[in-house]
Amino acid sequence: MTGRRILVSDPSLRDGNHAVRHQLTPAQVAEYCHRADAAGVPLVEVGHGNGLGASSLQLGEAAASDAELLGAAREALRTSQLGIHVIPGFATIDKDLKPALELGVDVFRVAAHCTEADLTERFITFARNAGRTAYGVLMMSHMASPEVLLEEARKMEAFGAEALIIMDSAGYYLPDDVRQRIRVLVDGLNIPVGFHAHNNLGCAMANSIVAVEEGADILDGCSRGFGAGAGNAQLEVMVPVLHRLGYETGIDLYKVLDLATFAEKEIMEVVPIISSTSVVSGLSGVFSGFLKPATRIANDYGVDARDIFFELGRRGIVAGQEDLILEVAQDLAGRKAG
Amino acid sequence: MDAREAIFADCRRSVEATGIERLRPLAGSRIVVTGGTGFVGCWLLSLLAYLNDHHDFGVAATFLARRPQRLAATAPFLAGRADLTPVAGDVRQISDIPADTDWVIHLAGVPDGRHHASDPIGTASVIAEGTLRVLRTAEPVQSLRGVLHFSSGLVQAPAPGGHSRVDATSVYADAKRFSEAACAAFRTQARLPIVVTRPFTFLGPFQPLDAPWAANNFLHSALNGLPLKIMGSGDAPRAFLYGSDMAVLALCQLVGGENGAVYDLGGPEAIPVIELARAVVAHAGRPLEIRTNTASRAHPTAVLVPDVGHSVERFGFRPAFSVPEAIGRTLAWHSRRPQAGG
Amino acid sequence: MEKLRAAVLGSGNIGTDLAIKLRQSPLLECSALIGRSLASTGLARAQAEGIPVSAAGVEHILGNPDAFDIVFDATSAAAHEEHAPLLEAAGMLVIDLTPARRGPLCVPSVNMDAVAGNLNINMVTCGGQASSPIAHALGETHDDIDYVEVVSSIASRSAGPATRRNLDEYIHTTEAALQFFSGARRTKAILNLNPAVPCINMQTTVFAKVRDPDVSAFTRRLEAMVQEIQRYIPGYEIIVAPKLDAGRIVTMVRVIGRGDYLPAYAGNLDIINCAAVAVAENYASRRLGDANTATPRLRVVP
Repeated sequence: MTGRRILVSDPSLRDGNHAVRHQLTPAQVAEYCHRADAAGVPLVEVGHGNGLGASSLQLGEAAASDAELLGAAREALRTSQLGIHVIPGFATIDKDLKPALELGVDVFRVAAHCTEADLTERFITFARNAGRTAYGVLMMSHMASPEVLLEEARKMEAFGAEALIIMDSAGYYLPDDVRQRIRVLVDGLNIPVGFHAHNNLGCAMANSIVAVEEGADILDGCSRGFGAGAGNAQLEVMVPVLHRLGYETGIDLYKVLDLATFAEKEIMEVVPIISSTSVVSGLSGVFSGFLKPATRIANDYGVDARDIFFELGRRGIVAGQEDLILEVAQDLAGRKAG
Repeated sequence: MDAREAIFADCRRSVEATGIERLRPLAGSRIVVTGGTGFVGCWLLSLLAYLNDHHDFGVAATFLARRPQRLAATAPFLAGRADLTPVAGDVRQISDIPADTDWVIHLAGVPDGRHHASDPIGTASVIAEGTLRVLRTAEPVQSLRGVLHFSSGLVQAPAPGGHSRVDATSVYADAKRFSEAACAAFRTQARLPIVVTRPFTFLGPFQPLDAPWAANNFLHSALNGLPLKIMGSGDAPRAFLYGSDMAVLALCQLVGGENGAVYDLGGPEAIPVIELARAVVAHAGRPLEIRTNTASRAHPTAVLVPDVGHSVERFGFRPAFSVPEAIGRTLAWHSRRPQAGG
Repeated sequence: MEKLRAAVLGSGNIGTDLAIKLRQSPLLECSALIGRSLASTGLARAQAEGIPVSAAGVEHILGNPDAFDIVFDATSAAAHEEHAPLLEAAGMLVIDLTPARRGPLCVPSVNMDAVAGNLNINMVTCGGQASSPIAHALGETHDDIDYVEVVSSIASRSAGPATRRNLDEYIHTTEAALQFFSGARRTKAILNLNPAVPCINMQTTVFAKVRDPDVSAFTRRLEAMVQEIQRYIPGYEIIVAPKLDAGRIVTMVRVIGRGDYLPAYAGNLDIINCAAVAVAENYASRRLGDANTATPRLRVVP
């Protein structure tokens, strides 16, 4: 379908926070948002890599509080909407959602592991009752069949989600995986469907294209792929690709290219590549956000990070269970020794 | 005008529009209502109270609910009345109803889609087991003249995309479908006089504003000065019926319905949802934004429109309230309540 | 042997498991498992085991207050607020397994005797029961605790609709308990649900930022506490001994349930039940006097 509008959402300042161990500063956020706003990026997502209220020893302590980051973003975004990612179980309504409301967040992307949609009911209801927009997000979506994904998505739709995003949090998908899932979701839901890609197996852009071919209306893209693990689909590549395919994004090409250059030079430490460990984390279906802690802990224990990933994958570990990296490393080290 | 006066005024208009003679078979009878504390229950009990107070109907009503005290919270003027006897209990567990019961209205269940999504087991159990239990309990009652079973308009609606998948989110409609099967079984084998009614969409006091349907969302937005959000393009046709009209029609179906009939319970005229939104904005008296939310591969809008032709013909049913009036009455009700805008 | 008579309010999984646990108690007798619907499978199971049941709700107790000494409340925070005052007024010990927190927080290995005089005792949360002893050991061995964080992972299957709807309450109550038992300036609780099959056991990690970490003192204190905990929760085990990781103290425990009614992987539910029974037995042994004071020991799982 050509001429169709695709909502391109930019979580560089949220997913990218994983890549810098959640050390993004309010000044960096403000500068980026200012340029993203000028480029016409419709939705900018900001915060700790694991979302609102996630700053913790488990997931990494942020350099700046949610309030500071969101405050900086809100001021810099005039026409673009400000979004947050939030996971019930990490954040609570009283501690985190209410302040986010006050700070002027427009879009609440409420996320749960792909089989646990019923955890999101209260948060979605809260955002809706406050007159804001709530999206439902299913994380680690490769860990459920398309039919189960649809079932969980329909629960979120029943709770009042205005769109449904599935995430390839581990970068596990190949294009046919995405085709199948998006097709089932688009067929079975009344609300728009979106896709969030990771590049561990080099398929982020192809997967995103396939998603819109199957009827997804929302795509996530990050500048230079700034995101967890091997990074996300590159925003500044996605925009002209979508344009060439005949879709509209409302985003200015030159300005989004400049945005990416700015991000690369001023905010990112490195431009993400698919490292050897990243390939393994993708293959094993483990959450991309585990890359840094797993690498560090592997080093500390003298074990191979890739072995850690395969074991975590075998155990079916979900996002948020970073503490188990330590247990697995300890186990592997013990086996090596004994 | 206080709550009781307002509700009774609505009842009066609805009764007059269709004619009180249709409801005459209720006079002097005993009625059992399962699940009396929700929207439908409150309107039915309000109508019965009105008929008793203003027309000497002398109806004795017993209503069963998990928490009968909820009635006092939603409709305080109904609490403590001698003609409305509360019984606390789970519908799946009732063991008997008064031996001189003439009519049973089976309402028990939660129509809230969010609840169906987060507790499909409870949903399935209450509808399926509850219906079987109520019918079994009604079976030996010799004085029984009729049962009105509340199913759902969703039973006739196709699933989005035309799929007939049975999964967690279809549990409510599937369970309601089974409940109709249970009614058919008891009607044909146990010879129980049963009429099934399929409720569609309603407007009126006694509905919680954070419940998921479009009408409630629009009213909630209007009261809070927020944009009205439509899921979809807004062209989905919906027919709305005001609460007191709904109660009158339901009682007509109970006392005058043909044994084994399945009637729709809803408004006579469908309007696109966006028109309802516009009417709500007009009533709110301030410029509120109306936002649609369409997916690019939008499905043909689910047709969820009742056919009340049978009811008009058989019962001479005439709704007293137009949609704009229904909106106005409902907004006024919520504005009066302390929690308005909450 | 004389026993105190206990009622269990709430016939869901928690209540039913409690009722079955009570049958093994030398000091307590389950005089009633009470729900609101005879359709409940918990009541059916209890009845099959010969435990008296009722579907009359709290009325069953209030209508006959002299028949009960102790009430375990496994209903909901809202319901607890409603009926607790009435039960307490009737002189019964109310052990609250909801997040209502009317009475003081109790973690048996830490402060059971200290709260023993209260007629309403709150059992915190499952994560709270698992982590508070650790928080307490931290507090006993460190003067200056800036921050304590607890992350619990439980099997998705062990988390029913009530847990899911009350995640926020769970988090706030657990954080309050951590603060209370450790004296830390700030606390955080995280709950992860994992749908993996076979179901994972409940696992809890505690992180702490302290000034002058003393891992060996903490380890010794913790090991002593664990010995105490294992008297009533044999499945509680340290799986990663306290260590310093990136400057913070970390330790991990796992709780495997006894499998009385709840499956063994639901250690998170079992721990709060075992703790509740321990509190009740402590109360019973005081009330019944020395004749019955044996260590209130439940059957030890080999």
